[in-house]
Amino acid sequence: MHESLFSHWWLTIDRWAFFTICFIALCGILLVSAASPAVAGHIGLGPGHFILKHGLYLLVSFAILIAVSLLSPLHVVSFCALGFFLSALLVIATALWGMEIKGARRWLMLGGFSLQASEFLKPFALMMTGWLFAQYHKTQNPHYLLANGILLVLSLGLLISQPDMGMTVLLSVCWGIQLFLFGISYKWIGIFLGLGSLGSLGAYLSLSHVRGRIHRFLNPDTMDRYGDGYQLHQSLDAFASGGLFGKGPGEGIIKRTLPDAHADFIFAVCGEEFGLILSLIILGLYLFFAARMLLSFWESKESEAIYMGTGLTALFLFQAFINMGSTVGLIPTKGMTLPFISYGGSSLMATGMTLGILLGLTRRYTPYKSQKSVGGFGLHMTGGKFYDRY
Amino acid sequence: MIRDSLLTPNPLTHHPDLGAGQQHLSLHLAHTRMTILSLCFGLLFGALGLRMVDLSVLGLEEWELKPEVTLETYMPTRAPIYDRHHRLIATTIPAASASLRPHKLLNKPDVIIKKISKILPTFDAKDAVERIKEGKKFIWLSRKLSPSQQDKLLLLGEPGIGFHESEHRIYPYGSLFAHVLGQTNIDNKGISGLEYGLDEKIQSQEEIVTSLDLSCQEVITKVLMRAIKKFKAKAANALVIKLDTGEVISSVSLPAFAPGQKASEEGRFNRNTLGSYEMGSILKAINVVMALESGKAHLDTLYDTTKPIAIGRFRIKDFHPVDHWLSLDQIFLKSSNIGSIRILQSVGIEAQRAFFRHIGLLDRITTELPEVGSPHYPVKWQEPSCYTITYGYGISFTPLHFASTIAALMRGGEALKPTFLKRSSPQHGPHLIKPETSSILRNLMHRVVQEGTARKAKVPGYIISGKTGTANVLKDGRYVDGKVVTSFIGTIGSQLDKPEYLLLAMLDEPQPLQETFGFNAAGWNAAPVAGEIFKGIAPLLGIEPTPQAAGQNKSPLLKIIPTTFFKTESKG
Repeated sequence: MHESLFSHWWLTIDRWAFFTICFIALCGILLVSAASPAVAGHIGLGPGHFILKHGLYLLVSFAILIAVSLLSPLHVVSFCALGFFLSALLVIATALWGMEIKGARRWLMLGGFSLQASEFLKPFALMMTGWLFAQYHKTQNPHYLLANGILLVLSLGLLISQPDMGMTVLLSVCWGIQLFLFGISYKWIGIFLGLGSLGSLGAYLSLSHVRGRIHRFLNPDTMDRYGDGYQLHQSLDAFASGGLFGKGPGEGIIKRTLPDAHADFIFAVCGEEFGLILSLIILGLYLFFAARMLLSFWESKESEAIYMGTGLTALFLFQAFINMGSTVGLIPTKGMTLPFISYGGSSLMATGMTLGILLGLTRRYTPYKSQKSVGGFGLHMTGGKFYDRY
Repeated sequence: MIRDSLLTPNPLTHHPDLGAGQQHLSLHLAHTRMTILSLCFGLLFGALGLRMVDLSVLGLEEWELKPEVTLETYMPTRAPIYDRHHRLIATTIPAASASLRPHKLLNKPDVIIKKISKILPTFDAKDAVERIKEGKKFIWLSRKLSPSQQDKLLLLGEPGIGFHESEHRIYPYGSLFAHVLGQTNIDNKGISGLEYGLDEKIQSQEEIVTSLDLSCQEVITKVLMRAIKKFKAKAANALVIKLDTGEVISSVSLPAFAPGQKASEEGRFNRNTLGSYEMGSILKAINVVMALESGKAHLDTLYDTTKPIAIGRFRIKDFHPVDHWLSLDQIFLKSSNIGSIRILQSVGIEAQRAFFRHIGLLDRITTELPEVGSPHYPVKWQEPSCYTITYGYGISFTPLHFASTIAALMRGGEALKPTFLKRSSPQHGPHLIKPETSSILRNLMHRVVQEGTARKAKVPGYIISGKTGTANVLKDGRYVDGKVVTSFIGTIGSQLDKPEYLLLAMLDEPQPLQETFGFNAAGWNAAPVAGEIFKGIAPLLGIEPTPQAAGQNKSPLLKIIPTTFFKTESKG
């Protein structure tokens, strides 16, 4: 190889996907710039406070993204194993010494930075379960399945302990997708769906805030505009008032009344100030990125790539779906960030790492120029073994 | 075996030694499922996109939003009150109350209290600190926050400061209508005035249009305030009644109070409807009407007024004794006490009592106002009380009661029931006296203004009829010399036979002035005050000036100007 490390990286990654990520990040900067000054003003910070921090976190995230995407598949697996172990420890530490905010213990103070370790636990856990599925697939050794189950139960247990029902559901669904790809029979799909429903019912019955949210979602009329249904009503108003083109940057009012306008409800600011057009563009960007990833894994014909990659893609896509869906009232409200757009250090870095892993998994082992392009998107055929790609 | 049942029954995948073939088929399955998965993703995001299009552009799904509460759509618990020209004189606005829960404070109470007292000027910081020390768990900070105060309190970010939705009754003209409108308590229930009298209607959102006229109320208040200052009077009050409808156009009682603030007992007292006063010589009008109605007298019937009348140890004299007999009209014009008693003697005591009852002076009247005083009269209707009644002592009425009776007598004799609510059509009642008697009364009263004691009530351009009354103040069962309540009652209009409005103006304990040559009788204070009121309200009420009245007064506008001009010229 005569190319430098960077040019080699540049020639072997999926540049379309990378550009998509950059666009998403740009939208994030735009929206955080629009939403956060009002939020910062509320809590007595300077108007540029969150914008600057967002920019810094984004730089770190891109550094992580590039670094992780440079890892070879074998190293990625080792990295994820280590990462899973560390993040699980951090989640346990959070449970012991974390900060309690609004009834949940999710944040750990580390030298001025409040770390949400569970954000990292999700992608690592999915990578590990995906790898274990692939291992079983290759060796038919049932121990892998056992390890897989233990890993899942451990991760879910940690998330429930916080409690973070949104992430618990997200991780369960993504693991379910891996299981689905793995080839689970339809009878078992039914059983798992039943168990999932029972679990949801259990959460509904035992956790009052979950019950409240579901109830409000199913009975929007009973919502108190200035009480529990406040955020959703504000958010729906925002979309309605934004219309096709939006009110214009900075013209919105929802950010003044929603405490999470720069984080969980940033999409409402998008709808209000930039209208349907940017909202649909953002939705399209997520879909396009996911489509590129899935097509790439489809083409790779490698079980590791399929299980790990699809699981991680689903994680990314579903998180975006849950955030946008709850903002527009399609699904019950869930506290979840819009990946790579919402403000939040842990979320940005964990997403950067997730995207790094995905870009790494879809790297080609031969540079772009010599490849046969499929469908005009520069899709490639690897056909080789997963670990010998580079 | 778990894996047997777990995996899709595919005979090839069950054999570990199938190698590449097995891999291939399993990949085939994974590919199929990835396609299904992609479809699911597509569907979910499609639904999301459609939902966004629906919300932003189409608006197909009606999201049941409760209407935004603005000042326009806000439905308060109390309806607004308007004056007769639909000008707002009482309304309700939303206002928040603020409370403090010391145990929930994040910051030190002293610090927060200091900040609060900067925001709320009326807040009693010392009292609050003491209450906190006492361990009180709930302290009201303010029951009526302005929006900017609420905003500032919110920005303190204290969970210990709570806000409660409440309402604020607003009287845009402050104390101008204080006694008529009354007040509400902290729970927005009416406690006095129309607020109490019409509480049910107001609470059931019925719009209240009163008979009051904002402009007249303002003019009369100003004139009375000047009069109190000038004559150093204790108090003053005035009433204007529209003669054809019986509407109370204006009702002013001074001193007044500022709604929503602590007021003295005197300030809260509505002199027009609650207080009963002896009216003095004005009662002679009733006496004359009674005589005329009895049929035993007419205008030129003569009475012996040369000798004082002795009743027991009292001797009733006249202010200006005469040495000849006086006719009925002269007795009225000269305001002779002796003559009045002679008239009564010719009619009889029982007839007097019957007449007072007949014209409703002995029954208390009711209006929309809850503050109603009763007439006071002798339990035993006999001498000497019934003698003094003829010239206005020993019997007292509330001003509103008396004014509406005189109004009835002046408007042709038809009984009149006064109201504080707007009436659009004339109000008719049974005839209390004959129209002819009423006409005579108007003439007599007009002459009192033209040449009698009420000359100072004259206003060029208008036909004014009236009578003054001066009554000594009764204190501890004795009439105090020099302390008087003076009144003027009279009508204004553009024709003598068609008076339009009745005015009753009273001053409580006006002092004699150098200007008034040491007199404090009604002709020197109540009459000029009435004149000023007439002058102020006549244009507002749309009473047309008549040239006939201008000529009578020797000082029409055209004549005044050259004189004034000449005077300034000569000075210069």
